[in-house]
Amino acid sequence: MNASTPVPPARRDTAAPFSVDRSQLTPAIEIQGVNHFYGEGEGRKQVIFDNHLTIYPGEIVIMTGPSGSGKTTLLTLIGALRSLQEGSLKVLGRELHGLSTAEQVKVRRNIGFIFQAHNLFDSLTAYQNVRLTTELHDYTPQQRHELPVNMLTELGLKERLHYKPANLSGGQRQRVAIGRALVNSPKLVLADEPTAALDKDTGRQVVNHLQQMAKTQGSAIMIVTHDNRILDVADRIVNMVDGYIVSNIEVAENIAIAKFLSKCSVFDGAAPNLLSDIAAKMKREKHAAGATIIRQGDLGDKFYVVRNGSVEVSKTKDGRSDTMVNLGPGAFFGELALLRDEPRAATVIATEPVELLTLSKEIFLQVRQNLGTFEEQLRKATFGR
Amino acid sequence: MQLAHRIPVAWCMLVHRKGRFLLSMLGIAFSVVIMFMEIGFFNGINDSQARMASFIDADLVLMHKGRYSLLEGDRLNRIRMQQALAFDEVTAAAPLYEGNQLVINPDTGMAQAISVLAFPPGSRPLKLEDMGELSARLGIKGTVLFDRLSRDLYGRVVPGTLLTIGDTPHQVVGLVAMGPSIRSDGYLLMGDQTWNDSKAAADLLSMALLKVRPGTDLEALRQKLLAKLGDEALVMTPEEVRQREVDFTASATPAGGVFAIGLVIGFLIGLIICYQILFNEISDNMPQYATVKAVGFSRGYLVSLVMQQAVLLAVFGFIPGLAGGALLYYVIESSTSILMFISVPRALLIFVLTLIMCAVSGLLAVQKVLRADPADVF
Repeated sequence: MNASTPVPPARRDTAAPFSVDRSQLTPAIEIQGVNHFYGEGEGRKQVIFDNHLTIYPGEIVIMTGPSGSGKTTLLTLIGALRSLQEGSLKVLGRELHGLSTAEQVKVRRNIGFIFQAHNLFDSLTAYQNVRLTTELHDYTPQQRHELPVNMLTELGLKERLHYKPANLSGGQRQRVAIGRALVNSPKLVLADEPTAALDKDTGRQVVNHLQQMAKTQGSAIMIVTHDNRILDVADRIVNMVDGYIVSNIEVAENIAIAKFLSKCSVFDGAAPNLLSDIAAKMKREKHAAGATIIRQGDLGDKFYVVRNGSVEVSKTKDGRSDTMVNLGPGAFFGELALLRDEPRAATVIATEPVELLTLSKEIFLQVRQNLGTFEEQLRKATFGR
Repeated sequence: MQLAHRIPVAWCMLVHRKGRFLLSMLGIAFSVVIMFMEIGFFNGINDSQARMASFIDADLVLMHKGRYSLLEGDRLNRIRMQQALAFDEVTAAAPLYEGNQLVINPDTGMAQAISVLAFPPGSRPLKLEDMGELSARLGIKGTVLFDRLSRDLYGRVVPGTLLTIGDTPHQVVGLVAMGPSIRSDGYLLMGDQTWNDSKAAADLLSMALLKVRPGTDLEALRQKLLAKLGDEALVMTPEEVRQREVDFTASATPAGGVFAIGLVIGFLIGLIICYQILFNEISDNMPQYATVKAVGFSRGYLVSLVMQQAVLLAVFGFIPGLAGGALLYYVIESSTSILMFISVPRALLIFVLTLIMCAVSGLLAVQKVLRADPADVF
């Protein structure tokens, strides 16, 4: 999601986050069917099960999940710190499967790593610690000096350039470590619990720096964390349990869809967390101008919300087609056939290139059932607290 | 990646804890001192043994082939010296006799063995202070010169002292400065008429010392002499005599083996000390090494990081080791009269050994770094 894309204020609530088309971008990370095992023979234990995940440049992804769920293993696989066993994993367009150790090292040079422990050299100053990683790339002597200085200045450590870690506070050390990770402007940053050792304020500071610098460099950032205080920076939240990616939610998209849904009368009375759940379950479809989306008389299997563009609803009666209505962004259709279990009552055709959000019949009905009364929802909300 | 713009990480790591660095330096220096002592003793024995050769004041020395050591072996017939004198290039020749005698310590009455060198009074066979004048004093039969650097076994001997040598009293008419070796505790110099009790004895020389005309090609003369004198004779420069004596001592005595083992032990001690230092350094910085590995530095970089530290340790341990060695040499030389000195080749030898010692321990310690799993840092 690119927050800086200009959006007309009137449409902000509806179409804002949807306007980014990333089909042309090379994903920063593309994980397909990755399995991973620890141990050998009898003791062999699978820790990653059929993971799929795509992350685009500029995205901040927060990965959560209980300890031992495989988050860190997945992170080390992405970071080329472990050899990939099964599946395909592309980092910055490079397939990691079957890479030699030396090739893995080369891949790692293009990734910024931030560790839970800062792991700075005690014997080197902040400046030297950051400058060290510039030695992995070709720079002019001047750049080699200026990059670390500018980086640390941006991180608010201008006055501490020549301090050794022992003379820096925990937050300052972690900022130096972030400087070390970002000084080469990596297109991918992997961070493991970057705020775990920090108090609330410094943790926030560090995350803000991370966010700001990643956005200006257009890098993808993947953060493994248990710290829910920093969830707000996430563009995407991935939840892992027992080696499975159980949810993968684009936050802004999810919020926008939920806002859409809140205006749909079919979901009247749904609480925000239910809307968010529904939003997470919606799929996206694109149709060219003139494409038929629903044909009258077909069996209904989906519920639709118009995300972008517009559609024309027409009814054919006695061989004559009547245009009934034009639907724009935020409008929904297709609910009647599902609710009444009838064939489609009208035909819907895209009048311009259109993007739709769909919900399968099964989920739609389930949601409707769960909507219940206001009181029921309130009780659920109390229980879920 | 330009080397000049690299952070001197190895150096920074090494000097980060100054106290520890100092101790590390001293640890390496300790083993350097041990190695210096061992080669010091080894060379000291050899050098002391051959010391007499460096006093020889001659251009060429004639010896019997059967004389395997300066102080032992067959004697050369006087005829050979006369034959050599027949060459135009040879301007002078002097006989030198050597042997052992018992001397009675005038203070304690105890008999002690002493090495004797004898030569015609007035000749100058040895490069010693006032040699000409002192040598002339030996013209009177029964007079001797005493080496004042001899060990303290002989009591207080000054000019005028009557020394009982064998059964006969001899008068000390002067003092020279030569110094003992391992096998002889001191020297007496006397006229050949005092030393040789018969004509037969006088005809058998330990060596003949030749002086040649300035500008003579020594090598050519040597060939001519060898051709003339037959295969009974050896013709050598004093330096060759000295080297031959060093080689003989080194091969014929167990000293070489003993001190070689000592050298190896010193080397091993240094190896262990250096390994310990590097191992501790690595253990303390394991997360850092793993991080460096994780962010994309190659194995080669890690190896060079450890090896640089090893070399720095070698250099900075060698310097105080050299100083300590020199100090101990001085103390030992002044208390035992064994020649102990540091020459450039000997210092270089120890330095190279120190480098090898640290490099080997570096290679051993670096295994730990290479085993570091970069995935562990997460």
